[in-house]
Amino acid sequence: MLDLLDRLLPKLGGYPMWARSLFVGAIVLVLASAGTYALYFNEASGKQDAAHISIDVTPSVLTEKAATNASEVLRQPQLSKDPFDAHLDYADVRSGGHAHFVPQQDYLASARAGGPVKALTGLEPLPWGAANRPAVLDVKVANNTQRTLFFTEAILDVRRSAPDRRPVLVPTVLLDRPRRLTVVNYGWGPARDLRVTARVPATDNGEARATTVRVGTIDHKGEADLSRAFAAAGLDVPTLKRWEAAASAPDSFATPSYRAELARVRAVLAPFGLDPERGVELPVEGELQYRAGNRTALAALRFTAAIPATQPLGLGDYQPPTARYETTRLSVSGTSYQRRVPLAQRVRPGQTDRFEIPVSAAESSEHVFRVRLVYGPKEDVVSEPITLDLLVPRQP
Amino acid sequence: MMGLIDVLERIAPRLEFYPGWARALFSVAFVVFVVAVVVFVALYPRAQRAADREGSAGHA
Repeated sequence: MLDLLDRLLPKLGGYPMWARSLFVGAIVLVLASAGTYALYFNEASGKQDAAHISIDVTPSVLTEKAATNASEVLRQPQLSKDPFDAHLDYADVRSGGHAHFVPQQDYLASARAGGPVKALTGLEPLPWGAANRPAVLDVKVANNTQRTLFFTEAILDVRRSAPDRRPVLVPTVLLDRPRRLTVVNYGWGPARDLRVTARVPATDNGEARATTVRVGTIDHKGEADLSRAFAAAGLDVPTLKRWEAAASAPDSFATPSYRAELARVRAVLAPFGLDPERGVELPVEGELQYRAGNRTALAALRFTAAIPATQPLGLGDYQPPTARYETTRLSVSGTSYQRRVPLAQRVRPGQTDRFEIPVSAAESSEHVFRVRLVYGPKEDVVSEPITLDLLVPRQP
Repeated sequence: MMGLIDVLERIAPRLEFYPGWARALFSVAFVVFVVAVVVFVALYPRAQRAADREGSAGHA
């Protein structure tokens, strides 16, 4: 290099001034470039390595153990095919290179498409356990560099978080609320100007007449009294109401007025093929119309429901067990033997109780027995005979 | 020549991770260097003659 310069430098005097300026400029630029290259070498190398490490994040299918409601999930395997009970997952809807994870749940999809959805049925609004699952970020990393990478932290740089105030309406039939449709809002924002339009089929197979009930704004729960729709179908609603008042009066079962009202309500329900003892639900079609959040446009959700026309016979309050005792082990084979379970259950006058006694055996076996509850020195109450085919899987 | 190509081969993949102004500097330096080489070669005979004349004038 020095030799080259040694040979070239004496000749530079023979070049014109502009050429010599060009040579000097070229040398300065080359030196500046070399310096810059060296100065930023580490940073550029790091970026080059990073370009060889790929990361991808997708929504993950949640395992049952990771669910926030794991105990419920494990205890109650998904047997229902109701869309409301379908598990919530997330799907990646990419648009323009931007990942967008959106919830996927059968009921939610139907509701956002405007229905039709099938109304839930129960004694009270249910928690939406199937949808109570966290979104799980499934992170995939590929290291195509020559170095070992040891990730010690994952940081979510959140640019924006904002509440989703869209209402999620679920029409619900509460069995102890005859002719009423309860609308439960599982969303975090109110549904304004809610109107429920319902049609109950008439007995003469004529076209069902639609009636509309204004419910107003609902934040968590609202109720629409559809008695007018039932009356439009030909039901004698005042008679149904008198029966409901008679049936709900305490100790009214043996009174003459109770029996008279029961006979009348049977006559009212008979043309519809209903009976207070066998079933009082009528199919109802309808539509919820509401405004979501601050939007002025009306959203619509079509629904179908089986709504009780009146109070059925035999509908009681759910009573959970008050105790569960130790498991009692039966013999696999034997005759005329007893198993005693110490109890401590108090039942006040006029009250009811419910408790559980688990039974097991060493092997699968059949047991025929009665349950006898002793409540005094020589007093007891005996159940009817019970045959229990106990299944105990043999373990491999 | 092969050594130069090897150097370029090692340098080139990393260039895209340098800042924009640095890449502009590298580009300008490269162009100016090439032009300087071309000018040097093109004007070499004339510069040689001028250098020779200056040498003979010095001896005289």
